[in-house]
Amino acid sequence: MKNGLTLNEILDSARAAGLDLSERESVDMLENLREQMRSFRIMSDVDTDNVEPFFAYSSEAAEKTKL
Amino acid sequence: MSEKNNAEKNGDDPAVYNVHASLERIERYEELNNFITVCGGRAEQDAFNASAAKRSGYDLPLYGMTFSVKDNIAVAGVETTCASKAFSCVPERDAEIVEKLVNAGAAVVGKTNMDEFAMGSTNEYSAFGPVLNALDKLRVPGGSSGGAANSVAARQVDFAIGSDTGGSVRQPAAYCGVVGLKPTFLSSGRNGLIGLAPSLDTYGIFAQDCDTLARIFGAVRGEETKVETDGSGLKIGIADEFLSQRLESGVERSYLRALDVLKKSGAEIVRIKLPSVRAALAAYHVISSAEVARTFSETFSDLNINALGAEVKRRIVMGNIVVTGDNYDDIYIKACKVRAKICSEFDAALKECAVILSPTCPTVASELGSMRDPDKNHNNDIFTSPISLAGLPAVSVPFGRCDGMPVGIQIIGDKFDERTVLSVGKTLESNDI
Repeated sequence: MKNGLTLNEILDSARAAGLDLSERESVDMLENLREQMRSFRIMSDVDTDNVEPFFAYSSEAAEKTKL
Repeated sequence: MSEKNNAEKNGDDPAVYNVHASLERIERYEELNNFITVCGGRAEQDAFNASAAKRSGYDLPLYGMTFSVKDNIAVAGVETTCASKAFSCVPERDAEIVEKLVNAGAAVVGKTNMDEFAMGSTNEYSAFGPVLNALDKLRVPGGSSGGAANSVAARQVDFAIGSDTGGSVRQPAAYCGVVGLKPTFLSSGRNGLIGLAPSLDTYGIFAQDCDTLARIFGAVRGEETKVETDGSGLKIGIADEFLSQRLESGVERSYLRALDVLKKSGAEIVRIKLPSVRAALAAYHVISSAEVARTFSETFSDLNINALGAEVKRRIVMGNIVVTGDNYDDIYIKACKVRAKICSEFDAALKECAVILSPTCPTVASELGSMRDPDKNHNNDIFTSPISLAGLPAVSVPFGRCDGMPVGIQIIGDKFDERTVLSVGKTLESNDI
């Protein structure tokens, strides 16, 4: 998992969703999303070698999630 | 109850009488802001129809009861808003669950306030203003099904229907001092639920007690769910990973006392291990936000997305980030693998015990405005989110108090074993002081 999230990544993600964020909105989001991304690192503590991902519906549905 | 009997004796329709009593209480406690739309005409019609069916000899297990419906669930002819400025529709049909409940004799009186698009844990992210906890108006009712839970707590309705993705029925049930059940994932059809995360969204039911909840759940499932309080020989699992979480001291006291009560009722406490649960909250937020982003992209492509509230926008942005480039494997697929491990650990644990016990939330209901920070808000889901990932049934039952507010205890069962979950819940509620 890479370190840090940039403002450009937030703006790109917002644009992909059709969101037109103001500068204030993006800046407000930045620290919170960075903090949340840091919190995701706890998943690295779980050994998932040779574990198949759980998809409640189908792997095709999960594949569609990819941007 | 005696007033209802008098009404019946006087030739008045008891179902209609109960609807009017419900509407009166909704108006009396309007300041709680539990309802976005009240549908008195629809409720009266449901009650008339139920009474006519009863006179014709139909067995209606929920006859005379009133209920409210979270405003992301369809009620025919009544506006659905998902508590958002960006969304409004008037469905032509009832949601499947609403239809079943009305067919069982109940009357729907209104659509309840919620966090916008079911994203939140305090009901402060609503475009229609916050809900005030019926037990203390300076506190939140929890979320996202805050209005639904609170409408039961305020006795405006006999029961309520909400939705639970990561805890949105169980947590407000705990905060409002009512019983809240999240059934097994996909155990009932979701037609008419405007969901956000398809691998997690589940209908939920709120009621004053486990017996009533079992009756309602039975009506939804089309089969009686009988709850018993004979706990002898039952094995109750407690997980070190849950015990190690920081709890408000009153919550911890209530949890330990709940274990004690169950031991005295004849249950055996067994220690179980759920090592991957420590990463459950992270996995839940990755998966749910990814699914939210996709839902908005595919299902709500006509929506004015820029009119959404800040929390919804934040989750959509996060949802796109976690599936972009290397993040897709490093974060999203990793979260799905963590989920797989959590599922198999719960499967293994539930071979050692019949149910698992945890607090529903680490704290009791917070003060309005104190949990607006999304990180604090999210931590509310620390005990509920693992169960959502595993698709298991779980109920929150009020047990004990902390700082004058009710504490919720969560009882988690094996898939489709709502009967045992509610039976253990009934044992606790009959020993609550």
